[in-house]
Amino acid sequence: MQIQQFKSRARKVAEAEIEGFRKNLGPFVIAAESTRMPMVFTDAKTVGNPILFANESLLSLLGVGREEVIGQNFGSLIAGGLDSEMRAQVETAFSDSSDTSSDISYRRGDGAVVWAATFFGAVRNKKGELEQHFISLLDLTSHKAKEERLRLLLDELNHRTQNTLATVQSIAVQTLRGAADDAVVEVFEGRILALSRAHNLLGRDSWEDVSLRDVIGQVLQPFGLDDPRVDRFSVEGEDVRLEPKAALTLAMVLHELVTNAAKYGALSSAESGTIEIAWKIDPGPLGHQMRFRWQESGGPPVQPSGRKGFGSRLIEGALAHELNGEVCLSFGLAGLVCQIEMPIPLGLI
Amino acid sequence: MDTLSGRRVLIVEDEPMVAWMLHDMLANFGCVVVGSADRLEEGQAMIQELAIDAVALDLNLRGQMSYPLADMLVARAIPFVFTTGYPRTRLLEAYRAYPYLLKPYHRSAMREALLALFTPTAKAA
Repeated sequence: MQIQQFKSRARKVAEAEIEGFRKNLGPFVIAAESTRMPMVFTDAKTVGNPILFANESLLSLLGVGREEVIGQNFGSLIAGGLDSEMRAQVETAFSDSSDTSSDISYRRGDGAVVWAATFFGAVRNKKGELEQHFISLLDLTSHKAKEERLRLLLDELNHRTQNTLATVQSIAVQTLRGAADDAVVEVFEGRILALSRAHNLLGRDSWEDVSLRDVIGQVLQPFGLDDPRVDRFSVEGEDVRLEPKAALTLAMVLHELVTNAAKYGALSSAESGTIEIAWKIDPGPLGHQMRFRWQESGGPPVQPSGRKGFGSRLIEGALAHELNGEVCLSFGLAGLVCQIEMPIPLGLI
Repeated sequence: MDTLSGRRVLIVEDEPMVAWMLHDMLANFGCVVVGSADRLEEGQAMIQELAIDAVALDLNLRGQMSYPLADMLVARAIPFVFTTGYPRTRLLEAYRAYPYLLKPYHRSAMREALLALFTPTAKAA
C-alpha cells in the first residue's frame, strides 16, 4: 500500500512539525489550544497546505477528531464540489501574499454544513519566506440561518405589499367606475402599478440600494424600452446605485414623465418622437451629484398646462423635498426637457 | 372573433376585492367566470366538477400554497396563469417557467396572459 505509506510519512512529518511548534512557541500553542476561536495552522511549503495544528475549538466546530484533520489538506474541510467557487477563494487566500478573509462553508463530521468567516494570515520566517498560514474561523451558521429567515420575512412583507396594492387598485377601479372618467381611472391605476413595480424592484434587492438602470428599465419597459420593434428610447450613463427612497421617487417621476410623453409628448404620435435619457455623476467632497436629463424630441410642441397637476407636483415637489434635489422642467417646440440634479450619497458609488 | 369570448375561467384568489376586480376584468373580456375559489379544498372541488378552459391561480391561499391545484391542472391539461405578490423566484422550480403575473397587474397584462394560454403555438414560437 504505497499511498498508505506516503500518508503515514506525511503524518509523521506533520507530527514532527507540531512538536517543533510546541517547543518554539510554547505558551502560544497553549493559548491557541484554549481559546474559543477555532484556529488552524497549515504548512505553506507543502502542496495542498496540509494542516499542522488545529485547536479544540476547531475540532468541536467541525465535529471531528484531531487525528482526522492533522496532515490532511486544508481543502478537505470545505463543503461542496472540487471545483466550487469557494475552493477557488481558498486557493486565492493561500496564494495571496496579503491577509485575506472570506465566508467559507465547511463539512462537519456528521455531514452538516458550517458557515464560517475565515481569516487567512501568512506566517513568515526571519528571511521573509512564507512558512505557514494561520487560519481563524468565526462561526456564521446561526448568522446565515438568521439571514435566511430575514429573507423569507422580507419576501412575505413584499408579498403583502403587492397584495395590498392590488386591493387598493381594486377599490379604486370599483369606486371610480361610473363616477369618474375612464381616463382618470386609468391614470390612477397606472400610478398604483408604477409604485408596485418600484416596490417589487426594491423587494428583490432586499430593500437595499438598487441600480438606476433597473429603475429606468422597470418603468419604461411597458412603453417599449427593450422592445427591438420600438426604437424610441436612448439611455446613456454609467450605472449608479440609488437608496430605496430615491429609487421609489425617481420611479414615480419617470412614470409621470413617460405617461405624459405617451399622452401629449414624444410618444404620442405613432410614427415619430424619441426620448433621450442621459446622466452624469459629478464627484464632490461631501457626496456625488447626479445630473439627469430627460429630453423629448420629435413630438408635437408642448406647453405647460395652467393647472398644476399631480404629475408636475410629484416631479417638482417630491424630488426637491424628498431627495434634496433640483428639478427644471422646460417646455419647448422640440419637446419637454426635464433636468434633475440630486445628491448621491458617497457610500453608493 | 375574439379568442377570449366564451372561455370558461376559474378564479382562485383569497382576497375578495382582488377577486371582484378580476371577475369584472374577465367579464369585460367576454369570458365566463365559472367560479371563484378562495381556499384550496374549494379549488380542488371546482377543478374536479366544473368544465374549465383556464384558471387564474393565486399562489398563497390563506397561508396554503396552491401547488396541489397547479398539479391537478397540469394533469388535466388545463392552462393557468399564476397571479401572485411573490416574485417568480419564490415559485417552486418546477413551476418557475409557467405563465405568471405579479400582482397588482393591469387588465391588459391579464388579457395578454390569457390570450397566450389559448395560443400555444404562438407561445412556443
